[in-house]
Amino acid sequence: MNSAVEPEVQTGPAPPDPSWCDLVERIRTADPSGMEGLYSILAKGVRYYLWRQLGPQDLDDKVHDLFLTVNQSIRNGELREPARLMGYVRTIVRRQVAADIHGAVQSRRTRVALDSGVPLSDHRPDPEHQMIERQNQDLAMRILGSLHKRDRQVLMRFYLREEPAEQICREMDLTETQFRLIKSRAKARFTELGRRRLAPRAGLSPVTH
Amino acid sequence: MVAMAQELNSHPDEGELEKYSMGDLREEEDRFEEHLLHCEHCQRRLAETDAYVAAMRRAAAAI
Repeated sequence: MNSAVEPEVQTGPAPPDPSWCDLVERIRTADPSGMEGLYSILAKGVRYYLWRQLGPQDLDDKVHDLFLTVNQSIRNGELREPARLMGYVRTIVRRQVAADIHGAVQSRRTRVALDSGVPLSDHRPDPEHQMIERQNQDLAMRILGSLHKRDRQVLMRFYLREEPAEQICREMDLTETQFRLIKSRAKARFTELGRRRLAPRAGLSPVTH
Repeated sequence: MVAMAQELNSHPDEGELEKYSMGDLREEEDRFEEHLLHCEHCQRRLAETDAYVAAMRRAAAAI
């Protein structure tokens, strides 16, 4: 996934939600369209959430397990407010993430005790992902290198040292608007450079989308 | 109920995306994640923001 380029940026109201109540009712009554509907709406989101929190390992199994859990618990009547379906799914996803992390920590402790510190598995990104990360870092370095010292200092304090925006503004005598502008210009530049980087590839690719 | 549905439907702004990416959204995190679960547009936006924040951190550390 190359995450540096996004031509479309929207904020504000999104399209209306699907009808959670109708969906929940269909799942409760074991109508196959209920689970199909839930899966079509949430599969990408659940997959993305689990991937972001836990990485790619056994991702398909985790997504599958999660949908089975959600399906079963709804059919058992555990979701009392159908309109709160998203909150309910989120709770189950977070529970699964916590259980997975707990399990991994326990396994690692056991393994470390047995094998004197041999890593349980390799969590490094794959070569393609590593290459994209390097390219993104190069872009960020170009941007930081092209900025005035003061603006660069703002970004370094915010992203690297994770100092609060209020503190940075106060100590560097910036208004909130100036601070936001410095950040948004840098990000816009990053997006623009990323788009340019990908443009030649898009022209050569037989598949555009 | 309508207000809650509208709130759940609203795309987070850039500042919220960045705060979430940096683990700093806190009290708004529930609403954000509930929206994220079913909004592919915001999944893409968050992936970009994650990539940007990570790149800036690595670059800043390397300078």
